[in-house]
Formats: sequence, structure tokens, C-alpha cells
Amino acid sequence: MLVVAKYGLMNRSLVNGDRSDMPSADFAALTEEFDPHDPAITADDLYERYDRLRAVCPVTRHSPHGGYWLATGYDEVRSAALDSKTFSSANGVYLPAVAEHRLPVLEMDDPEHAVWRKVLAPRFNAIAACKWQPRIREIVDELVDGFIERGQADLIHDFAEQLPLTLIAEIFGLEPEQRTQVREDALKFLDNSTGDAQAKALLGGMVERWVRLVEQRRREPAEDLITAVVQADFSPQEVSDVDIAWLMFALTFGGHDSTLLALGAMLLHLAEHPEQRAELIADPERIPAAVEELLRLHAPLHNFRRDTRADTELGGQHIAAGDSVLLAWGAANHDPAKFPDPDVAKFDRPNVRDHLTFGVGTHGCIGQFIARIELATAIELVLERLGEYELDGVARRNGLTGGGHHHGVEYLPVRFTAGLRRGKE
Amino acid sequence: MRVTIDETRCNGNASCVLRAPDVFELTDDGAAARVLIEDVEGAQADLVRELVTECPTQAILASDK
Repeated sequence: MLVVAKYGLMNRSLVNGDRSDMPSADFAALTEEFDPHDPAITADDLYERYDRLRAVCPVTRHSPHGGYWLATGYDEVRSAALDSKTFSSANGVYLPAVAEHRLPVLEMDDPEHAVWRKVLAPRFNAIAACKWQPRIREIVDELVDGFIERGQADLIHDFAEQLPLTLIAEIFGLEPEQRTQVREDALKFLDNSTGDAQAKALLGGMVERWVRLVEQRRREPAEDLITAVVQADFSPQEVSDVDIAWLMFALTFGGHDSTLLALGAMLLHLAEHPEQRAELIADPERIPAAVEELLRLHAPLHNFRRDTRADTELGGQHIAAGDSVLLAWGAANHDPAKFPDPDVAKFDRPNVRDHLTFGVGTHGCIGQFIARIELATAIELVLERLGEYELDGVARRNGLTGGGHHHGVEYLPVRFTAGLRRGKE
Repeated sequence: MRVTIDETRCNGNASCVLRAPDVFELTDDGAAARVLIEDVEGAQADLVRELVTECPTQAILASDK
């Protein structure tokens, strides 16, 4: 009746789901409550909360949202993500659900999921991502041109937000006003991603706009991702325009918000660690490894939910069929058993790529290759052009927002020695 | 070292094809990878070992003969 030795001597009934034989106060005393939507969670105590829970058990039971399990141990999060047969995404990956319609790809299981992924893979895989590299460099230089002469900038609003938005607009074939709309939709979603009626109404309006765009591309095909998806063969599945509209929302939202959060966190980290920044300025070839390490340290998306299809074991806990399990990527990335000294950035970690920021397994982030190129290029050119920029005020970080899982930097004012534009204008 | 791809896991991320085009290629529909050389040694084997870890779906299997 003992949990695995590394988690200490503990009556298993106290930490597993079998709470019938004990007063609830004992359980609460051992594992503090955790609600990812709790506004009391701050950027400063988020990882400490995970650490306290993981030290009790890598999988803990919590009561909010109808009751759920939180996986904070690296091995547990990874093995659950790889076992997509048992840990299903089909009932939704947000806790609680945010929309009545499933988000295509994210909220599907194989074999249905594989049909969609097959359509998208050639557009997003590692080879396709490389083809965007020259254009990504141009976009980064154009954005830096926008503020380099000023000698100061908000690197979130002026830069981290604009880079992924500009790029996905080009990949999808969106007009400038549609690009603005993508950001507005995302902000509405983030402000309202609690699953309430108002949030669902907002999402309905967004879907109507995408459906009109899908119909337009069917009439007038273009060289873009929307057209490619409209013309794709999803057989044996029947896919409606509404399904495609939700896919477009999921891809455009996922394609920019997480990247901007990650980039903001990296730029702030380098402002606060000038010695590490100097290393990268001296040797830009280390930037890709630094990007991986900072992705580990500052995961932008902290969790996704799975629901079990059958009784199973995870981290010594018995999980009953139908239970919800929150896979806490951000917590797994800070598990000291996997990453010694987990709260410190070490660009030369031997397992620097083993972080779970992009997830792992069949649902692993489809945009991870494009994101890596965006992040590395952005860091390289910012360091090349802004050099040793300094904080120009107080940067603002959030705890967990947007459905209880977005973590990043909201405001990053910096000053630097003004430089020259590279573009023609 | 023998290399195979677990087709039930691969969903065409192509990181192996990008980094080791002599060992892996994409299927005709571009949606999955397949193995070109099943037996690799030396530097190629070292690269494949790295790709086993790097594969986002953990679909590459490598076993010492």
C-alpha cells in the first residue's frame, strides 16, 4: 500500500482517487488544491506549486471542474501523451471544455485524427518549415526596422506578437484586416475561455467569418493553406465547412499565440541574464540549443487535458475509465528527476531537446518546426541588431491565463542604442 | 544497427527525412516517412540514434543486431 519509494512513505489511499476511507481534510492537507484557472497563481509561484505537488506524488487528484488528475512528473506526462489510445483527446483538451464544437485535430483521436494530420503534415513538416526560413528573416528584419531608430520598444507588442501573426497570414493567405481579426479572435478567446455562454457566442461569430472565407476559396482557389485544405481529400470522413472553419481557428490561434508567448519569455530571459546573452552574441551557433532550453524553462502552454478510455495506472495512481487527466507540460519540464537544477537555464544540457513544450506523440505540435525557425531567427537578429538591450520599466508576466494554461510575458519595454533600418523605405 | 519506422506512430513530421535523407524518405502522399536503408553503421548509426530521441512521435525504432 505504499507509493513508489521516491515519493516517500505515504498511505496510498491518501493520494489516490480512493477517498472513501478518509476524511477529505487529510487529503487536502497532503496535496494542496490546484485549479489552473485560479487567478491567485502568479508567474513567481507557479513552478513552486507544481514542485510541492510533484514532491507528494507525480499525479495528484484535485476537485475543481468536476474533479481531475494533475500529472506533474516528466515520465508520467510523457508516457500518458504517448499512450493516446488510453488517454483520449476526443472529449476535449481544455479543462473545462471551451466550445461546443470540437477543435479539429487537437480534439480528435486516431484514426480520425490521422486523416486530418495527413492533409496538414506536408504543409507543416520539418522540410516545409525550412522553406519559410528566408521569408522569416525578412519579416524579422522588417519588424525590427519598425522600431530600431527609436532606441526603445515594447518587444511584445512591436515584435513578438507581430512575427507569428505576419507569418501565419502569409501561410494561410489572409488579408491584413483578416490578420488583425485573427488576433482579436484570439484575445476574445483568451478572455473568455472559461466555457461560459458568452464565450461560446463569441466563437460562433468567428466561425461564421471563416466559413465565408472557405466558401470564397472554393469559388476562387488561391495558392494558400486555406485553398489546400478546402481541396483536400479527407476520405473516408465527411468534412463540413464548419469543421474546416474550426480547423482554421485552431491553426491560426495555435500558430501565433503560443509562439508570441515563448518569444516574449525568451527575450525577457536574455534581458535578465546578460551573461548568457553575451554568450549567444559571441557564438550565434548556440542559439538553437538556447531556444530549446528556454522553451523548456518557459513553456507557453502549460497543460492539455486527456480523458481515459479504460482503467489505468499513472504515477502509482489508479485512474478510473472516464477520468480527466491534465498533462502539465510546464510542470514536467521542471521535474528535477529529468532536468537537474530545473529552474536554471543551461544551454548545454545533454537532454536539452527532451522538453515537452510541444507535447509528444501523435498530438505533438504540428507547428513546432516553423516555431523553432521563427524563435531562433528572431533571437539571432534581435541580438545582432539591438545588442545588449535593457529593460526600460517593469516587464509584466502572467500566471496562467486563457483557459488556465497560457503562460508568458504581456509587456516587455526595452531600450537600446538606436540603429539603422535595413529596408529601403 | 537495424532501423524501422512504426507506421502506427509516424505522422509525417519528417524531421528524420530532413536530417538523414539517405536513410529516410517521405511516402508518396508526403504524410509519413519510410526507411531507405534498414542497416546503418558508423556515423549514420549515430545520427539515427539522435533522430530516435528527436522524433516527435517516437516512431523510429533502432535495434542493435
